[in-house]
Amino acid sequence: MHSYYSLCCSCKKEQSDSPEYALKHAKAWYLKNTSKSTLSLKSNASVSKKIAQTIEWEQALVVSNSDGSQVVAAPVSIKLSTGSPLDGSFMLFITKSAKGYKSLMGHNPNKDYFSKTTSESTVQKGYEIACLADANHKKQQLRPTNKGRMALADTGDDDPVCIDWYYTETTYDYWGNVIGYFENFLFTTCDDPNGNLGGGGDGGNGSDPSEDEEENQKDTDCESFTFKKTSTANWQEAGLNKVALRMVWSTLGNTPIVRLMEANHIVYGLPTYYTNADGTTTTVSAGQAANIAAEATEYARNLTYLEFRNSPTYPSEATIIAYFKEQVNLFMLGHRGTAGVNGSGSPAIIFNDEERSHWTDPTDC
Amino acid sequence: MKYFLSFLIFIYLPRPAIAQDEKKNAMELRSTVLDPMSLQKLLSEKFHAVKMTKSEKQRSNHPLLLLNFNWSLADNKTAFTFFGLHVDSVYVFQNEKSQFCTFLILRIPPRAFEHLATEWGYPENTAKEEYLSDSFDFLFWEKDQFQIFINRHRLSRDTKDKYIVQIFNMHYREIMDFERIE
Repeated sequence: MHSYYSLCCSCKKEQSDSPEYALKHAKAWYLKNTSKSTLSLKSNASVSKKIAQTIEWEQALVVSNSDGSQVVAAPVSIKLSTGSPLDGSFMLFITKSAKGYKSLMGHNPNKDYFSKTTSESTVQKGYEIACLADANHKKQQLRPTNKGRMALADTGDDDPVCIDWYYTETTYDYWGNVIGYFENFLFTTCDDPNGNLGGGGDGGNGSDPSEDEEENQKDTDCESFTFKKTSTANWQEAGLNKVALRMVWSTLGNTPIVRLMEANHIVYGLPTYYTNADGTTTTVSAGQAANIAAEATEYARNLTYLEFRNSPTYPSEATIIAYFKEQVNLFMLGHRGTAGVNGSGSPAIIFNDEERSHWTDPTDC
Repeated sequence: MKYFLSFLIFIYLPRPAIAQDEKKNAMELRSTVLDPMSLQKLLSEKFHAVKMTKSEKQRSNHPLLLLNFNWSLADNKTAFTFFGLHVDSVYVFQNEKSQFCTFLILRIPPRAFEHLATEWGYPENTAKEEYLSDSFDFLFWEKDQFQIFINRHRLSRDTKDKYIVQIFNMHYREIMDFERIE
Protein backbone atom coordinates (compact mmCIF):
# COMPACT_ATOMS: atom_id res chain seq x y z
CA MET A 1 0.00 0.00 0.00
CA HIS A 2 2.80 2.33 0.96
CA SER A 3 4.73 1.66 -2.25
CA TYR A 4 1.57 2.12 -4.32
CA TYR A 5 1.03 5.51 -2.69
CA SER A 6 4.66 6.51 -3.29
CA LEU A 7 4.42 5.43 -6.90
CA CYS A 8 1.28 7.47 -7.47
CA CYS A 9 2.77 10.52 -5.82
CA SER A 10 5.86 10.14 -7.92
CA CYS A 11 3.76 9.86 -11.07
CA LYS A 12 1.74 12.89 -10.10
CA LYS A 13 4.84 14.96 -9.34
CA GLU A 14 6.47 13.98 -12.58
CA GLN A 15 3.37 14.90 -14.50
CA SER A 16 2.92 18.31 -12.88
CA ASP A 17 6.54 19.18 -13.63
CA SER A 18 6.35 18.23 -17.27
CA PRO A 19 6.39 20.89 -20.00
CA GLU A 20 3.18 19.44 -21.44
CA TYR A 21 1.40 19.85 -18.12
CA ALA A 22 2.70 23.41 -17.72
CA LEU A 23 1.66 24.38 -21.24
CA LYS A 24 -1.76 22.78 -20.98
CA HIS A 25 -2.65 24.52 -17.72
CA ALA A 26 -1.11 27.86 -18.64
CA LYS A 27 -3.03 27.86 -21.91
CA ALA A 28 -6.28 26.92 -20.16
CA TRP A 29 -5.78 29.71 -17.61
CA TYR A 30 -4.99 32.31 -20.27
CA LEU A 31 -7.91 31.40 -22.51
CA LYS A 32 -10.33 31.45 -19.59
CA ASN A 33 -8.90 34.67 -18.20
CA THR A 34 -9.16 36.52 -21.50
CA SER A 35 -12.38 35.03 -22.83
CA LYS A 36 -14.27 38.25 -22.06
CA SER A 37 -11.40 40.61 -22.72
CA THR A 38 -10.82 43.19 -25.41
CA LEU A 39 -7.26 43.79 -26.51
CA SER A 40 -5.95 47.26 -27.23
CA LEU A 41 -2.73 49.06 -27.79
CA LYS A 42 -2.81 52.16 -25.62
CA SER A 43 -0.31 54.96 -25.44
CA ASN A 44 0.58 57.40 -22.72
CA ALA A 45 -0.73 60.08 -25.09
CA SER A 46 -4.34 58.89 -24.84
CA VAL A 47 -4.35 57.08 -28.16
CA SER A 48 -6.06 53.71 -28.17
CA LYS A 49 -6.08 51.20 -30.99
CA LYS A 50 -7.96 47.94 -30.99
CA ILE A 51 -5.82 44.94 -31.85
CA ALA A 52 -6.32 41.27 -32.60
CA GLN A 53 -3.81 38.59 -31.77
CA THR A 54 -3.16 35.06 -32.90
CA ILE A 55 -1.29 32.88 -30.44
CA GLU A 56 0.68 29.99 -31.90
CA TRP A 57 0.11 27.56 -29.05
CA GLU A 58 1.43 24.61 -31.05
CA GLN A 59 4.77 26.42 -31.33
CA ALA A 60 4.94 27.23 -27.62
CA LEU A 61 8.03 26.45 -25.59
CA VAL A 62 8.43 25.82 -21.89
CA VAL A 63 11.71 27.16 -20.57
CA SER A 64 13.23 27.59 -17.15
CA ASN A 65 13.49 31.02 -15.60
CA SER A 66 16.62 32.08 -13.69
CA ASP A 67 14.86 31.20 -10.42
CA GLY A 68 14.07 27.71 -11.67
CA SER A 69 10.40 28.31 -12.34
CA GLN A 70 8.81 27.46 -15.66
CA VAL A 71 7.96 30.05 -18.29
CA VAL A 72 5.51 29.15 -21.02
CA ALA A 73 6.30 31.15 -24.16
CA ALA A 74 4.17 31.26 -27.30
CA PRO A 75 4.81 33.35 -30.43
CA VAL A 76 2.03 35.83 -31.17
CA SER A 77 1.13 37.83 -34.24
CA ILE A 78 -0.67 41.11 -33.54
CA LYS A 79 -2.65 43.15 -36.03
CA LEU A 80 -4.38 46.50 -35.78
CA SER A 81 -8.10 46.59 -36.44
CA THR A 82 -7.22 47.89 -39.91
CA GLY A 83 -5.55 44.52 -40.59
CA SER A 84 -2.01 45.92 -40.60
CA PRO A 85 0.46 43.80 -38.64
CA LEU A 86 2.45 45.52 -35.93
CA ASP A 87 6.16 45.87 -36.47
CA GLY A 88 8.55 43.37 -34.91
CA SER A 89 7.70 40.09 -33.26
CA PHE A 90 5.77 39.29 -30.12
CA MET A 91 5.79 36.50 -27.58
CA LEU A 92 3.31 35.75 -24.83
CA PHE A 93 4.99 34.67 -21.59
CA ILE A 94 3.01 32.93 -18.85
CA THR A 95 4.49 32.21 -15.45
CA LYS A 96 3.07 30.67 -12.33
CA SER A 97 3.88 31.58 -8.74
CA ALA A 98 2.26 31.03 -5.37
CA LYS A 99 -0.09 33.91 -6.23
CA GLY A 100 -1.22 32.20 -9.42
CA TYR A 101 -0.63 32.71 -13.12
CA LYS A 102 0.62 35.91 -14.67
CA SER A 103 1.04 36.86 -18.31
CA LEU A 104 3.35 39.30 -20.03
CA MET A 105 3.56 40.26 -23.69
CA GLY A 106 7.12 40.62 -24.98
CA HIS A 107 8.20 42.55 -28.06
CA ASN A 108 11.29 42.64 -30.19
CA PRO A 109 11.76 45.02 -33.13
CA ASN A 110 13.22 42.17 -35.20
CA LYS A 111 10.39 40.58 -37.17
CA ASP A 112 11.86 37.06 -36.83
CA TYR A 113 13.13 37.30 -33.27
CA PHE A 114 10.28 35.31 -31.76
CA SER A 115 9.21 32.42 -33.96
CA LYS A 116 8.94 28.65 -33.94
CA THR A 117 12.69 28.39 -34.54
CA THR A 118 13.60 30.60 -31.58
CA SER A 119 16.07 28.88 -29.29
CA GLU A 120 15.43 28.28 -25.63
CA SER A 121 18.14 30.74 -24.60
CA THR A 122 16.61 33.45 -26.81
CA VAL A 123 13.24 32.91 -25.21
CA GLN A 124 14.79 33.13 -21.74
CA LYS A 125 16.54 36.34 -22.70
CA GLY A 126 13.37 37.69 -24.31
CA TYR A 127 11.43 37.07 -21.12
CA GLU A 128 14.04 38.82 -18.99
CA ILE A 129 14.06 41.82 -21.34
CA ALA A 130 10.25 42.00 -21.32
CA CYS A 131 10.18 41.95 -17.51
CA LEU A 132 12.87 44.60 -17.33
CA ALA A 133 11.25 46.85 -19.95
CA ASP A 134 7.88 46.63 -18.22
CA ALA A 135 9.41 47.42 -14.82
CA ASN A 136 11.49 50.30 -16.21
CA HIS A 137 8.59 51.91 -17.98
CA LYS A 138 6.51 51.78 -14.87
CA LYS A 139 9.22 53.69 -13.10
CA GLN A 140 10.18 56.31 -15.65
CA GLN A 141 7.27 56.96 -17.86
CA LEU A 142 8.10 60.58 -18.40
CA ARG A 143 11.50 60.95 -19.86
CA PRO A 144 13.19 63.57 -21.98
CA THR A 145 12.89 63.39 -25.73
CA ASN A 146 16.03 64.06 -27.72
CA LYS A 147 15.38 67.77 -27.25
CA GLY A 148 15.38 67.47 -23.53
CA ARG A 149 11.65 67.97 -22.98
CA MET A 150 9.32 65.73 -21.11
CA ALA A 151 7.36 63.45 -23.33
CA LEU A 152 3.94 64.55 -22.13
CA ALA A 153 4.73 68.22 -21.84
CA ASP A 154 3.76 70.65 -24.56
CA THR A 155 6.18 70.55 -27.45
CA GLY A 156 6.48 72.53 -30.62
CA ASP A 157 4.71 71.21 -33.68
CA ASP A 158 7.86 69.84 -35.26
CA ASP A 159 9.44 68.38 -32.17
CA PRO A 160 9.60 64.61 -31.96
CA VAL A 161 7.57 63.11 -29.17
CA CYS A 162 8.36 59.81 -27.52
CA ILE A 163 5.27 57.75 -26.90
CA ASP A 164 5.12 54.55 -24.89
CA TRP A 165 2.74 51.88 -26.11
CA TYR A 166 1.10 49.36 -23.81
CA TYR A 167 -0.56 46.05 -24.51
CA THR A 168 -3.84 46.12 -22.59
CA GLU A 169 -6.51 43.60 -21.76
CA THR A 170 -9.85 45.02 -20.63
CA THR A 171 -12.30 42.50 -19.23
CA TYR A 172 -16.01 43.13 -19.47
CA ASP A 173 -19.02 41.60 -17.84
CA TYR A 174 -21.99 40.44 -19.85
CA TRP A 175 -23.38 43.95 -20.04
CA GLY A 176 -20.19 45.45 -21.33
CA ASN A 177 -18.98 46.99 -18.12
CA VAL A 178 -15.34 46.89 -17.21
CA ILE A 179 -14.53 44.47 -14.41
CA GLY A 180 -10.80 44.02 -14.96
CA TYR A 181 -7.85 45.78 -16.53
CA PHE A 182 -4.27 44.75 -17.27
CA GLU A 183 -1.50 46.44 -19.16
CA ASN A 184 2.18 45.93 -19.86
CA PHE A 185 4.74 48.00 -21.69
CA LEU A 186 5.53 46.95 -25.25
CA PHE A 187 7.62 49.54 -27.08
CA THR A 188 8.28 53.22 -27.67
CA THR A 189 7.91 55.30 -30.80
CA CYS A 190 9.78 58.58 -30.95
CA ASP A 191 9.33 59.76 -34.47
CA ASP A 192 5.70 60.70 -34.89
CA PRO A 193 4.06 63.43 -32.84
CA ASN A 194 0.63 62.21 -33.95
CA GLY A 195 1.12 58.89 -32.26
CA ASN A 196 1.15 56.88 -35.46
CA LEU A 197 2.81 53.54 -35.15
CA GLY A 198 5.94 52.74 -37.14
CA GLY A 199 5.61 51.58 -40.70
CA GLY A 200 5.65 47.96 -41.68
CA GLY A 201 7.79 46.22 -44.21
CA ASP A 202 5.50 47.23 -47.04
CA GLY A 203 6.20 50.87 -46.60
CA GLY A 204 3.95 51.86 -43.75
CA ASN A 205 1.19 50.47 -41.63
CA GLY A 206 0.81 53.56 -39.48
CA SER A 207 -2.83 54.35 -38.99
CA ASP A 208 -4.35 57.70 -38.25
CA PRO A 209 -5.46 57.76 -34.61
CA SER A 210 -8.48 59.80 -35.62
CA GLU A 211 -9.72 56.77 -37.53
CA ASP A 212 -9.53 54.58 -34.48
CA GLU A 213 -12.00 54.27 -31.72
CA GLU A 214 -11.19 57.08 -29.34
CA GLU A 215 -12.19 55.54 -26.05
CA ASN A 216 -10.85 58.42 -24.07
CA GLN A 217 -12.72 61.17 -25.86
CA LYS A 218 -16.00 60.73 -24.05
CA ASP A 219 -17.74 63.79 -22.78
CA THR A 220 -20.80 64.76 -20.84
CA ASP A 221 -24.23 64.93 -22.40
CA CYS A 222 -24.50 68.68 -22.84
CA GLU A 223 -20.79 69.42 -22.75
CA SER A 224 -20.99 71.87 -19.90
CA PHE A 225 -17.27 71.55 -19.26
CA THR A 226 -14.53 72.86 -21.53
CA PHE A 227 -11.24 71.81 -20.01
CA LYS A 228 -8.21 73.73 -21.26
CA LYS A 229 -4.59 73.60 -20.24
CA THR A 230 -3.90 76.72 -18.25
CA SER A 231 -0.83 78.51 -17.04
CA THR A 232 0.20 75.86 -14.52
CA ALA A 233 2.17 72.88 -15.85
CA ASN A 234 0.33 69.56 -15.97
CA TRP A 235 -2.95 71.24 -15.18
CA GLN A 236 -6.23 71.76 -16.97
CA GLU A 237 -9.20 73.76 -15.80
CA ALA A 238 -12.84 74.42 -16.63
CA GLY A 239 -15.24 76.92 -15.10
CA LEU A 240 -18.91 76.37 -14.40
CA ASN A 241 -21.74 78.78 -13.62
CA LYS A 242 -25.41 78.42 -12.80
CA VAL A 243 -25.27 75.02 -11.16
CA ALA A 244 -28.87 74.41 -10.14
CA LEU A 245 -29.49 73.43 -6.53
CA ARG A 246 -32.98 72.86 -5.33
CA MET A 247 -34.18 72.13 -1.85
CA VAL A 248 -37.65 70.94 -0.93
CA TRP A 249 -38.78 70.91 2.69
CA SER A 250 -42.01 69.25 3.65
CA THR A 251 -44.21 71.10 6.11
CA LEU A 252 -46.99 69.99 8.41
CA GLY A 253 -49.53 71.65 6.17
CA ASN A 254 -48.24 69.47 3.39
CA THR A 255 -47.28 72.48 1.31
CA PRO A 256 -43.63 72.00 0.55
CA ILE A 257 -41.22 74.87 0.84
CA VAL A 258 -39.08 75.02 -2.26
CA ARG A 259 -35.90 77.01 -2.61
CA LEU A 260 -34.03 77.30 -5.90
CA MET A 261 -30.39 78.31 -5.82
CA GLU A 262 -27.55 78.64 -8.24
CA ALA A 263 -23.92 77.97 -7.46
CA ASN A 264 -21.68 80.15 -9.57
CA HIS A 265 -18.04 80.51 -10.47
CA ILE A 266 -16.68 77.08 -9.68
CA VAL A 267 -13.30 76.31 -11.22
CA TYR A 268 -12.58 72.61 -11.65
CA GLY A 269 -8.91 71.68 -11.97
CA LEU A 270 -7.36 68.33 -12.83
CA PRO A 271 -3.90 67.18 -13.85
CA THR A 272 -3.35 66.28 -17.49
CA TYR A 273 -1.51 63.18 -16.29
CA TYR A 274 -0.43 61.59 -13.06
CA THR A 275 1.90 58.82 -11.99
CA ASN A 276 0.34 55.90 -10.15
CA ALA A 277 1.75 54.14 -7.12
CA ASP A 278 3.01 51.33 -9.37
CA GLY A 279 4.92 53.81 -11.50
CA THR A 280 2.57 53.79 -14.48
CA THR A 281 1.25 57.04 -15.87
CA THR A 282 -2.39 57.81 -16.47
CA THR A 283 -3.31 60.64 -18.79
CA VAL A 284 -6.50 62.59 -18.20
CA SER A 285 -7.92 63.86 -21.48
CA ALA A 286 -10.18 66.89 -21.62
CA GLY A 287 -13.13 64.56 -22.19
CA GLN A 288 -12.26 62.41 -19.18
CA ALA A 289 -11.80 65.54 -17.08
CA ALA A 290 -15.28 66.66 -18.15
CA ASN A 291 -16.69 63.28 -17.10
CA ILE A 292 -15.08 63.49 -13.68
CA ALA A 293 -16.25 67.06 -13.16
CA ALA A 294 -19.79 66.26 -14.30
CA GLU A 295 -20.07 63.25 -12.01
CA ALA A 296 -18.59 65.18 -9.09
CA THR A 297 -21.25 67.84 -9.65
CA GLU A 298 -24.01 65.26 -9.95
CA TYR A 299 -23.23 63.33 -6.78
CA ALA A 300 -22.33 66.45 -4.79
CA ARG A 301 -25.85 67.65 -5.58
CA ASN A 302 -27.31 64.40 -4.24
CA LEU A 303 -25.22 64.70 -1.07
CA THR A 304 -26.30 68.29 -0.59
CA TYR A 305 -29.95 67.40 -0.94
CA LEU A 306 -29.69 64.61 1.64
CA GLU A 307 -27.72 66.80 4.01
CA PHE A 308 -30.33 69.54 4.23
CA ARG A 309 -33.67 67.98 3.34
CA ASN A 310 -34.47 67.10 6.94
CA SER A 311 -32.86 70.12 8.48
CA PRO A 312 -35.09 71.37 11.33
CA THR A 313 -34.18 74.94 10.46
CA TYR A 314 -34.07 76.27 6.96
CA PRO A 315 -30.39 76.85 6.33
CA SER A 316 -29.25 79.87 4.40
CA GLU A 317 -28.52 79.76 0.72
CA ALA A 318 -24.86 80.49 1.41
CA THR A 319 -24.63 77.51 3.77
CA ILE A 320 -26.12 75.13 1.22
CA ILE A 321 -23.96 76.37 -1.65
CA ALA A 322 -20.82 76.24 0.48
CA TYR A 323 -21.61 72.64 1.44
CA PHE A 324 -22.19 71.72 -2.20
CA LYS A 325 -18.86 73.22 -3.28
CA GLU A 326 -17.10 71.40 -0.47
CA GLN A 327 -18.46 68.05 -1.71
CA VAL A 328 -17.43 68.80 -5.29
CA ASN A 329 -13.95 69.60 -4.06
CA LEU A 330 -13.77 66.29 -2.14
CA PHE A 331 -14.53 64.34 -5.29
CA MET A 332 -12.00 66.34 -7.28
CA LEU A 333 -9.33 65.80 -4.62
CA GLY A 334 -9.80 62.07 -5.12
CA HIS A 335 -8.59 62.57 -8.69
CA ARG A 336 -5.71 64.79 -7.66
CA GLY A 337 -7.75 67.79 -8.68
CA THR A 338 -9.45 70.71 -7.00
CA ALA A 339 -12.66 72.69 -7.19
CA GLY A 340 -12.65 76.24 -5.94
CA VAL A 341 -13.51 79.82 -6.69
CA ASN A 342 -10.52 80.97 -8.70
CA GLY A 343 -8.37 77.97 -9.61
CA SER A 344 -5.14 79.17 -11.18
CA GLY A 345 -6.79 82.47 -12.01
CA SER A 346 -5.78 82.01 -15.63
CA PRO A 347 -7.71 84.08 -18.19
CA ALA A 348 -7.71 80.95 -20.36
CA ILE A 349 -10.33 79.29 -18.14
CA ILE A 350 -13.57 78.89 -20.07
CA PHE A 351 -16.77 79.31 -18.07
CA ASN A 352 -19.96 77.64 -19.23
CA ASP A 353 -23.39 77.60 -17.67
CA GLU A 354 -24.40 74.15 -16.53
CA GLU A 355 -26.59 72.71 -19.22
CA ARG A 356 -28.63 69.61 -18.83
CA SER A 357 -30.52 67.71 -21.45
CA HIS A 358 -34.19 67.15 -20.76
CA TRP A 359 -35.27 63.84 -19.34
CA THR A 360 -38.02 63.50 -21.85
CA ASP A 361 -35.80 64.58 -24.72
CA PRO A 362 -32.19 63.64 -24.12
CA THR A 363 -31.07 65.22 -27.39
CA ASP A 364 -32.29 68.66 -26.31
CA CYS A 365 -29.80 70.68 -24.33
CA MET B 1 -44.00 14.19 -45.38
CA LYS B 2 -45.97 17.39 -45.14
CA TYR B 3 -45.56 17.43 -41.39
CA PHE B 4 -41.89 16.60 -41.69
CA LEU B 5 -41.33 19.57 -44.01
CA SER B 6 -43.23 21.83 -41.66
CA PHE B 7 -41.04 20.62 -38.84
CA LEU B 8 -37.89 21.36 -40.84
CA ILE B 9 -39.14 24.85 -41.70
CA PHE B 10 -39.92 25.42 -38.02
CA ILE B 11 -36.43 24.32 -37.05
CA TYR B 12 -34.58 26.45 -39.57
CA LEU B 13 -36.70 29.59 -39.69
CA PRO B 14 -35.24 32.57 -37.81
CA ARG B 15 -36.85 33.22 -34.43
CA PRO B 16 -37.91 36.84 -34.12
CA ALA B 17 -39.32 36.08 -30.69
CA ILE B 18 -35.94 35.51 -29.07
CA ALA B 19 -35.87 38.99 -27.51
CA GLN B 20 -39.28 38.36 -26.03
CA ASP B 21 -38.12 35.00 -24.70
CA GLU B 22 -35.15 36.69 -23.06
CA LYS B 23 -37.45 39.26 -21.46
CA LYS B 24 -39.81 36.52 -20.32
CA ASN B 25 -36.94 34.65 -18.68
CA ALA B 26 -35.35 37.75 -17.19
CA MET B 27 -35.30 38.24 -13.47
CA GLU B 28 -37.38 41.20 -12.30
CA LEU B 29 -35.54 43.25 -9.68
CA ARG B 30 -38.18 45.70 -8.46
CA SER B 31 -38.87 43.73 -5.25
CA THR B 32 -35.43 42.19 -4.77
CA VAL B 33 -33.61 45.49 -4.52
CA LEU B 34 -35.89 46.57 -1.67
CA ASP B 35 -35.42 43.43 0.39
CA PRO B 36 -32.04 42.80 2.11
CA MET B 37 -32.58 39.03 2.41
CA SER B 38 -33.46 38.65 -1.25
CA LEU B 39 -30.50 40.80 -2.16
CA GLN B 40 -28.15 38.66 -0.10
CA LYS B 41 -29.49 35.54 -1.81
CA LEU B 42 -29.10 37.15 -5.23
CA LEU B 43 -25.50 38.09 -4.48
CA SER B 44 -24.58 34.57 -3.42
CA GLU B 45 -26.19 33.05 -6.50
CA LYS B 46 -25.44 35.46 -9.32
CA PHE B 47 -22.62 37.78 -8.30
CA HIS B 48 -18.97 37.62 -7.45
CA ALA B 49 -16.84 39.92 -5.36
CA VAL B 50 -14.81 42.53 -7.24
CA LYS B 51 -12.41 45.26 -6.28
CA MET B 52 -11.27 47.98 -8.64
CA THR B 53 -9.04 50.85 -7.62
CA LYS B 54 -10.04 54.36 -8.56
CA SER B 55 -7.15 54.52 -10.98
CA GLU B 56 -8.35 51.35 -12.71
CA LYS B 57 -11.85 52.77 -12.89
CA GLN B 58 -10.63 56.00 -14.40
CA ARG B 59 -8.43 54.30 -16.98
CA SER B 60 -11.32 52.14 -18.10
CA ASN B 61 -13.98 54.90 -18.05
CA HIS B 62 -15.99 52.88 -15.59
CA PRO B 63 -19.62 53.96 -15.15
CA LEU B 64 -19.24 53.93 -11.35
CA LEU B 65 -16.17 56.12 -11.32
CA LEU B 66 -17.17 58.02 -8.18
CA LEU B 67 -19.23 55.31 -6.52
CA ASN B 68 -18.18 52.31 -4.45
CA PHE B 69 -19.14 48.80 -5.50
CA ASN B 70 -17.81 45.38 -4.54
CA TRP B 71 -20.11 42.95 -6.36
CA SER B 72 -20.66 42.45 -10.07
CA LEU B 73 -22.42 39.77 -12.09
CA ALA B 74 -20.59 36.46 -12.15
CA ASP B 75 -21.84 35.28 -15.51
CA ASN B 76 -24.17 36.05 -18.37
CA LYS B 77 -26.81 33.48 -17.64
CA THR B 78 -29.43 35.83 -16.27
CA ALA B 79 -30.97 38.91 -17.82
CA PHE B 80 -32.51 41.46 -15.46
CA THR B 81 -35.43 43.82 -15.75
CA PHE B 82 -36.61 46.66 -13.55
CA PHE B 83 -40.29 47.43 -13.87
CA GLY B 84 -40.06 45.44 -17.09
CA LEU B 85 -37.26 47.62 -18.51
CA HIS B 86 -34.12 45.82 -19.61
CA VAL B 87 -31.27 46.51 -17.19
CA ASP B 88 -27.90 47.04 -18.88
CA SER B 89 -25.72 46.76 -15.78
CA VAL B 90 -26.10 45.73 -12.18
CA TYR B 91 -23.56 46.37 -9.46
CA VAL B 92 -23.93 46.16 -5.72
CA PHE B 93 -22.06 47.75 -2.86
CA GLN B 94 -22.34 45.93 0.46
CA ASN B 95 -20.84 47.50 3.55
CA GLU B 96 -19.58 45.81 6.70
CA LYS B 97 -23.00 46.05 8.32
CA SER B 98 -24.52 44.10 5.42
CA GLN B 99 -26.32 47.13 4.17
CA PHE B 100 -26.68 47.49 0.43
CA CYS B 101 -26.66 49.86 -2.45
CA THR B 102 -27.80 48.40 -5.75
CA PHE B 103 -26.83 50.26 -8.90
CA LEU B 104 -28.91 49.71 -12.00
CA ILE B 105 -27.92 51.30 -15.29
CA LEU B 106 -30.70 51.28 -17.82
CA ARG B 107 -32.59 53.22 -20.42
CA ILE B 108 -35.81 54.73 -19.08
CA PRO B 109 -38.23 55.99 -21.72
CA PRO B 110 -40.26 59.10 -20.76
CA ARG B 111 -43.46 57.08 -20.44
CA ALA B 112 -41.85 54.89 -17.78
CA PHE B 113 -41.49 57.88 -15.47
CA GLU B 114 -45.26 58.14 -15.30
CA HIS B 115 -45.37 54.47 -14.40
CA LEU B 116 -42.75 55.02 -11.67
CA ALA B 117 -44.94 57.73 -10.15
CA THR B 118 -47.86 55.33 -10.11
CA GLU B 119 -45.80 52.68 -8.34
CA TRP B 120 -43.76 54.78 -5.95
CA GLY B 121 -45.67 58.06 -5.84
CA TYR B 122 -44.19 61.38 -6.91
CA PRO B 123 -40.56 61.94 -5.89
CA GLU B 124 -39.90 63.84 -2.68
CA ASN B 125 -37.72 66.43 -4.36
CA THR B 126 -40.20 67.55 -6.98
CA ALA B 127 -43.77 68.67 -7.12
CA LYS B 128 -46.13 66.73 -9.32
CA GLU B 129 -46.32 69.54 -11.88
CA GLU B 130 -42.55 69.78 -12.08
CA TYR B 131 -42.21 66.06 -12.42
CA LEU B 132 -44.65 66.01 -15.27
CA SER B 133 -43.07 69.03 -16.94
CA ASP B 134 -39.62 67.47 -16.89
CA SER B 135 -38.18 70.13 -14.59
CA PHE B 136 -35.79 68.43 -12.18
CA ASP B 137 -32.15 67.47 -11.84
CA PHE B 138 -32.55 64.12 -10.09
CA LEU B 139 -35.29 62.10 -8.47
CA PHE B 140 -35.46 60.92 -4.88
CA TRP B 141 -37.82 58.54 -3.12
CA GLU B 142 -37.96 56.80 0.22
CA LYS B 143 -39.41 53.30 0.30
CA ASP B 144 -39.48 51.59 3.68
CA GLN B 145 -35.89 51.34 4.88
CA PHE B 146 -34.49 52.19 1.43
CA GLN B 147 -33.76 55.46 -0.27
CA ILE B 148 -33.64 55.80 -4.03
CA PHE B 149 -31.88 58.25 -6.32
CA ILE B 150 -32.27 58.32 -10.06
CA ASN B 151 -29.62 60.35 -11.81
CA ARG B 152 -28.73 60.79 -15.43
CA HIS B 153 -25.85 58.56 -16.42
CA ARG B 154 -23.71 61.39 -17.66
CA LEU B 155 -20.52 59.67 -18.66
CA SER B 156 -20.75 60.01 -22.38
CA ARG B 157 -22.70 61.27 -25.31
CA ASP B 158 -23.75 57.79 -26.32
CA THR B 159 -25.55 57.25 -23.03
CA LYS B 160 -27.72 60.35 -23.13
CA ASP B 161 -30.89 58.42 -22.43
CA LYS B 162 -29.42 56.17 -19.74
CA TYR B 163 -30.00 56.53 -16.06
CA ILE B 164 -28.33 55.23 -12.96
CA VAL B 165 -30.68 54.09 -10.23
CA GLN B 166 -29.19 53.87 -6.74
CA ILE B 167 -31.25 51.98 -4.17
CA PHE B 168 -29.64 51.96 -0.76
CA ASN B 169 -30.24 51.40 2.94
CA MET B 170 -26.95 52.79 4.20
CA HIS B 171 -25.62 56.27 4.76
CA TYR B 172 -25.30 57.76 1.29
CA ARG B 173 -21.85 59.08 2.02
CA GLU B 174 -20.53 55.52 2.37
CA ILE B 175 -21.40 54.90 -1.25
CA MET B 176 -19.29 57.78 -2.52
CA ASP B 177 -15.79 56.85 -3.63
CA PHE B 178 -13.71 59.62 -2.10
CA GLU B 179 -10.58 57.47 -2.24
CA ARG B 180 -7.62 59.48 -3.46
CA ILE B 181 -5.63 58.15 -6.37
CA GLU B 182 -2.25 57.36 -4.88
